[in-house]
Parts: sequence; structure tokens; C-alpha cells
Amino acid sequence: MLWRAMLSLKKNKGKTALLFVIMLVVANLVISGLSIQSASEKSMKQIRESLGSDVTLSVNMMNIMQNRQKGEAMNQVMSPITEEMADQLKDLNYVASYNYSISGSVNSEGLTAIETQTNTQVPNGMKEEFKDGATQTTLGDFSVSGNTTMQNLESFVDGSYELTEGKLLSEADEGSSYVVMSKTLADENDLSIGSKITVSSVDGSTTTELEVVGIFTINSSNSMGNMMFNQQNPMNMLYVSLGTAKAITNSEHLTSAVYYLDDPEHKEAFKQEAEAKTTIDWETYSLDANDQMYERNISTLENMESFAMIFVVVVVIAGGSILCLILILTIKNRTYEIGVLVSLGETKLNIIIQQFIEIAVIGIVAFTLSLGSGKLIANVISGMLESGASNSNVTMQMPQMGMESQNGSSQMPNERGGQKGNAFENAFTAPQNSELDVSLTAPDVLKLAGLTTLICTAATLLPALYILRLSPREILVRKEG
Amino acid sequence: MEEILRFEDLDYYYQDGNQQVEILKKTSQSFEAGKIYAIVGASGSGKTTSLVLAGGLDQPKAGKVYFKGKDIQEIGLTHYRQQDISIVFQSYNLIYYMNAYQNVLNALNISKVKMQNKRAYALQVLNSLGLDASLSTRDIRKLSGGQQQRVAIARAIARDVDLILADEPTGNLDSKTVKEIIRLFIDLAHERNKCIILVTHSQEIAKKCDVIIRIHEGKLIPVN
Repeated sequence: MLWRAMLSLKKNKGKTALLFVIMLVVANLVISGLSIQSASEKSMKQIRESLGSDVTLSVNMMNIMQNRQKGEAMNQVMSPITEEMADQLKDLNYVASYNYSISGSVNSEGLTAIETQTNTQVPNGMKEEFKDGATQTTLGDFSVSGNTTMQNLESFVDGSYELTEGKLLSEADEGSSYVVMSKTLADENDLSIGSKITVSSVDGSTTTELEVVGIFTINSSNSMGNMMFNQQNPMNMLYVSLGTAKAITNSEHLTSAVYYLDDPEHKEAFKQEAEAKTTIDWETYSLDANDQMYERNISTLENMESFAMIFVVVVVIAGGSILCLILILTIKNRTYEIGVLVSLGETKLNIIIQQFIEIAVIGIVAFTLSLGSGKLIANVISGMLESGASNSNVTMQMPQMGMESQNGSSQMPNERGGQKGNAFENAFTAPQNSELDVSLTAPDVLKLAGLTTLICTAATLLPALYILRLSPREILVRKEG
Repeated sequence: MEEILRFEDLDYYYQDGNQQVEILKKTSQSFEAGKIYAIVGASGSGKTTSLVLAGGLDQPKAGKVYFKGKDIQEIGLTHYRQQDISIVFQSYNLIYYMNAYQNVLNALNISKVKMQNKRAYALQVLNSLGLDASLSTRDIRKLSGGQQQRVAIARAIARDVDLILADEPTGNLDSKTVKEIIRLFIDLAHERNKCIILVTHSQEIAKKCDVIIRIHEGKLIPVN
């Protein structure tokens, strides 16, 4: 059969060339579609991973605003996040580690804050009189961030902040009176590792002595602009343990609880488990997994992936149909040959297999060539598709998330595992969509091989039915009449 | 003489609209090795039908065809055509994308003949029929009618089967070639002990055969 098939292909050069061109075009388009599909999936995964595997327990501001009665103040409807509530989530499946944080501001008699440029332009007295919209309280010169552990803090993980001396606070330091501060602040106040400072709550009711155990430099910060007050300046940030933050801000409530999952893919599963296994009111609270950011970034890629999938299906169906039609037309010309083979004792099955071999040989050659040329076409197509895609920084407005502490001091979120910045508009750099990498992967090659086989089989199927119905007598013998 | 083929109470008809046209009516006939048979009759009498049924290319409406005492339905029609018989047609029925020796080789491959050097054997068979190596490797369509018929006969005899069926094998040939082809068939029957069954319109060819069978009113009737 193979020998006959090769002889037939060699003799019918025109038909062979036509089938080859069609197969080559189909194979190239299919491999382009598959490459773009794979590249899109890979990019979406990379974006997912770059956005991190963290999930934040936070107040569902949208629901609160919707449910707030007219005339009700925000501090009357805001619900705090308690440690008891947060503890329900830390032992669930998929949680690799977690961090609770309390944010606030403090003052210090012996410590000189780094002045912000705009701060010096604020009229005297206004700073003291400033009341944030939610809490109607004054702000201190320094912001304080108490954490279960500093190990997963985004600023340190992404390199914006870099520890240069000492250590970062960890769970082992809970209950300690340690502090980690910026180098600029340390230098300004002639402080070094082991130095002691005294801080007090903004209402002056609590005073605590802290020992410097870590100093960090700020390589980049998104909040360097738009600072009206000292405590907004990241150089004036003091990192302490969670217990210390509770004491000096007089707050038992958490600003945020962040859970770091073992795999970004588990975010949805974690959310579902949280809803099923905890007593948290999910109308008031929510788990934020950077979904909005993810959705915004991947919408273009999802469109590309869908387009690629539809493209592949259309090409396979169209290509297979065209090949089938050509084979049906040519098989009618081979009726005589089929009759001869049957009269010689050849089985119809072998004749069908010969037809399949003929198209498969062409398919194999086309498939092999398309492995090289397909990538070129994929790059062209993906370039055309990406031309409208966003490739720039995404700016998000961060809602004010001020939480009222027991003594009324404002707790401003500034260091999350996720939410950055202050209560004002903040530029948030989303992971950039880099150019799609449409390299050929082994699964793509296997898929192409499978689709090529499918096309060859489908193209042979209808002609095969025709062959099976042939009567050798009708082909070969004059009709008696 | 060994009986090679036997028709037993064969019936055959075809449907022409509402009418049933009877071709063969409960007819029987035996064919032996070492003889050449000519089946003659008027146009439409059933000559080709007899050959078609003998070759397993169609099935009778009633009755049986036996090859060496065995019902060919039990042998399996494909196996029967593959291993036990060869058919030579008026229009040669060669495969156009193969040359002469490839046509013969193809038949050997289909029959699953086990042989050391099939190519050399095919060329030898063709040579014995007057086709040298240069003709044997030529495009089939570039051979004359007589040469193509020789290739068809070479294809038939290369498989060394006991029964060869030929439907008007000389119909498209000149008189000189006709004589050569008929001589070949006679030699196959007498010298190689084959059973040859020819369908022919030609009385002259029929007279050269050992047995003439006339089909009349659906019956096969030996004349001599």
C-alpha cells in the first residue's frame, strides 16, 4: 500500500502539489493559532504570579456605602477587622503564611521627622487642626506599621525597600519593643542599630520606648509625591511588632489581614473555603485577591486566546473540508483503478488505507515544514492582535480605608501585602504586558500532529464511503442488456 | 482431468424498472484443468455474466460456484480473487501510474506471493511474453494495445493460479496480435495445465479452443 501510494503521488504531481499547498497553509495557520493560544495562557499565568498569591481580608466598602442610611457617618457604619475574625482564615487550606497589620500614626519628642516639601508650606496650625474625613482626629508626625511579620511585605519583596543593617521583624519578635526605620530618618537623628527612641500615641496617652534593630533604604516609592504631611512620607515610617502597634495606637482592631497562598491558582478555592468554613459576614467583609487588577490586565490576553482557539477550529474545519472535497473529486477519477485492484483481490480496506497514506505523507511533509514557518506567521499575527493592547501603567484610585481605633485615632493603611499608599489617589504600577512569547512548545507540536492526523482522517472518510459502495462489476464489465 | 470450476444451478437476473430480466436460468457447467474453454453467444445472452460469477465479482441470485470442490462464498470472494484466479479484461485494466513490471509486481504483492526477487521474476514473465526490459519499464500508456494486453496476461500468469478468466481479451487488437495472444492462452492450458475460460464473439477464436460453450436461453450448453 505504501509503495502504491508513493507511486501514485509521484505520478500525479499536480494533484500532489495542490494537496501539499493546502496542507501547508492549514498546518501553518493551525500552529500559529496554537502558539498564540499557548503564549496567551503563559502570559496570563505570569501576570497572575506577578500579582502575587496574596489575599487580603478587608471591609467591603461598596456594600457598606450602599447600605449606609442617609445622615449616618462613616465611623458609625464601618466594621473593624478583629484578630479573632482573621484567625478563622489563617489555618485554612492553601495558606502558606499570613500577616496581620495595624497602621496608625505616632509622635515622638526626641525624634525629628523628615519634612516633606509641601508640609513646610502648610500654614501654621493647620497640621494640628487637620482632621481626616472619617475619624475627625489629628495625625502624628510618624506613621507606624505593626505586623505579624515583615518577611512578606511588598515593599521589601519587590525591592522598593532594602534592609541595609540589622534585621526585619518576624513572628519571633512579637511582643518585643523593636523598631525598623529608614536610613534617612536614622541618619537625620544620629541613630544606629541598638539606639533607643520614645514614641507616643497621638493623644499622648501612651508612651513606649523602642529599640532600633533594623534600618532600610528606600530605592523607590510611589508615594514620594503628593505628600502634605510628614506621616505620609515613607521615610517617617516606623515598623514595629503587632503588639507594640496595638499599644501605641490604642487599637485592638486590625487594619488588614493578608494571607499568602501556596499557589496563585488557589485563590478562588481559598475564597470558597473561607465562605464555607468561617462565620465571617461576607456582606460586610470581602477577600481581595487583586482580581480587578488581574481582570483588567488579562482581558486582552483572554480575547487573544479565544480568538486563537476559534481561529484554529475554523482553519481545521475549513481545511479538512477543502481537502475532503478535493479527494472526493479525484477519487471519482480513480474508480477504474479501484475496480482493477478489487479484481486482483485487493481489499477495499487496503484501498482506503492507501488513500489515507497518500494524504498523510503530504501532511507529514507539510507539518514538518510548518514547524519552522509557523512561528514566523504566529509572530506577525500576534503583533497585529497586540497593537491595541495596553502596555502602560495602570492608575487606580484607592478608596479611603481609614479605620477608627478605640481612642479615635485614625489608622491609615499604608503597608499591605497588597494595598499601597494613602487615602488619596495613588498611581499603582500593574505588571506590564510584555510582548507575547510565541515560541513552539512540545504540547503545541503534539496538538498540531494530532490535528494533522484528524484532518487527514476526516478528508479520507467521505471518499472511503464512496469506495465501500463501489461494485467491481459495474466498474470493470460492460453492462449486459 | 481435475475439475477446477463448477457452476451448479446458477440463476442470475437484473431489475430493469419493474421488469426482471433473466440472464442465467438454473444452469450448470463444469470446467477442467488443462483445457481452454470458449463461451460464445448472442449479445446480452450472459457471456460476461458467466465470467463475472466465475470471478467472484458478483453473486448469483441462486445456485453456487465451486472452485476445486469448494463453494467460493466459503473461500471468501476477496481471498478467491487474490489467490486462486486471474482475470484478463478487454480493456487491459492496468494501473496507469505503474509501468509494466510494476503492474505485475503489484499483482504479486496483493497475492502475498513469497519470493526472493519479485522484480526479476516479473521482468522474466514479461520477457517470456515478448516484452524486454526497456518496454517493461516504460510508462504503460506509451505501450501499444497488444503490448498492454501482454502485460495484463503477464500479470495473470505471474501469480501461477490454476484458473484464468479472459473477457474478450483480443477485442481491441489487430489480427496478428490476436493470433499471438490466443497461442499464449492455448500454451498456458496445454503446457502449464491451467484452466482458461475465454468469452469471445469470434467464431474463429472459439474454434481454436478445446471446448465451445454456447449460452442459449440462459443455459450453458457445450457444443463440442
